[in-house]
Amino acid sequence: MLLPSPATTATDEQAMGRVQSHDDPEAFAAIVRRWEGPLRNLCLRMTGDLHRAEDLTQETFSRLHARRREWQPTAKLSTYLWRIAINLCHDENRRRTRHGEVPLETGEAGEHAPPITVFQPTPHDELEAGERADQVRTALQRVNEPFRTVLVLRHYEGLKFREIADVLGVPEGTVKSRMVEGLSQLTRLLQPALNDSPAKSAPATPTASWQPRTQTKANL
Amino acid sequence: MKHPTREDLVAHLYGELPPAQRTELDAHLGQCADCRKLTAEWRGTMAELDSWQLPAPQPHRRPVPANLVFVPFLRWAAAACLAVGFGFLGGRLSAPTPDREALRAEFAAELKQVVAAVETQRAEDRRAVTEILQTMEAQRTEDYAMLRRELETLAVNTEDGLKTIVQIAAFTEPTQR
Repeated sequence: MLLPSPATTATDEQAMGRVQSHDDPEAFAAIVRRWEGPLRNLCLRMTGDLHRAEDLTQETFSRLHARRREWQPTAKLSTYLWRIAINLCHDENRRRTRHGEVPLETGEAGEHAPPITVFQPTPHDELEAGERADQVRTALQRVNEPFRTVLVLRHYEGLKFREIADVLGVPEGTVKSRMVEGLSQLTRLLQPALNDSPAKSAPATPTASWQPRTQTKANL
Repeated sequence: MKHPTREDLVAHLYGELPPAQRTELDAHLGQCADCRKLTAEWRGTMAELDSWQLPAPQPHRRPVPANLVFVPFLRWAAAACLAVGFGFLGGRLSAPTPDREALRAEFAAELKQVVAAVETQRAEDRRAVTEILQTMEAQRTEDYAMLRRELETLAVNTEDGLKTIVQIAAFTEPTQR
């Protein structure tokens, strides 16, 4: 295209309006270009798996296109997109758990989850950072999903609590409570030493006892 | 001392408190070791979260719904059709024109034979069809006559049957007394 298409300069809502009224493929492509990165990151953070995240992102766009007539022009497109993606991630995680795959989440409130190794920062070691990121990824998958959703949307995607409330359709106070719970669970998972007094934490937290749940599942 | 809610602490950590409340909370944190400890823990966890960075999205396969996927294919298909069409036209225009009279003479005899064969076949078919139709017509007339006879017989029998019923009815009368 020699001329810049109007779809590339339009806002999300204008582009979506064109998709609704004219089935404009250029406008839809502009939406996809703008949102595939953020949505893939969200799905990756929610599932911890890159391939699933890419599939879910694609599914989010097909669903948006299939339901383009349902979208209300008064609503923010981003809210609508986040909601579709969150619901898809939720279905995917539930399906995975039902099919006996690794249920990474903990029980009631994450209290019985054995802690992951205690972090001791060693600034000179580059590899350490990668390992640490891996541990964060694993720990996040073990935070119960409603709390994880809020953690990911607020911390990584930078949505305000008000916006998260719109996406999830719950009061803002509920979102903040979930954030408190999510942060607390994650703190317990990542920094178990912080929760106990130093005197009893040394024998009480056997760092080597944590095993991936796959193994115990497979042995049953 | 009145502690702030944990929700307010979280909102403070993410910079979502209104300025007045923020000042108040900062003042409280200056005095309260418990709230300070909790905030520090959460800050640590937030820093941990930051350690999981994702690579920047690389442009690759673009997810587009199925019905939009066909648009580029259609363009390519149209281009291919045009190319083939022009190729065909070019070939035709550049090829030498064959001698029409010679071709016509060559095929005339053969075509006449074929036409004659088709004609005889058609006449035969027509005859066969007429025959079948006549047979069917005769059969129909016969069936009609038979049906009529049967109906007459039935009518007579029914008449007899009715008489019998009347007789029976009359006959039952005395037994009831």
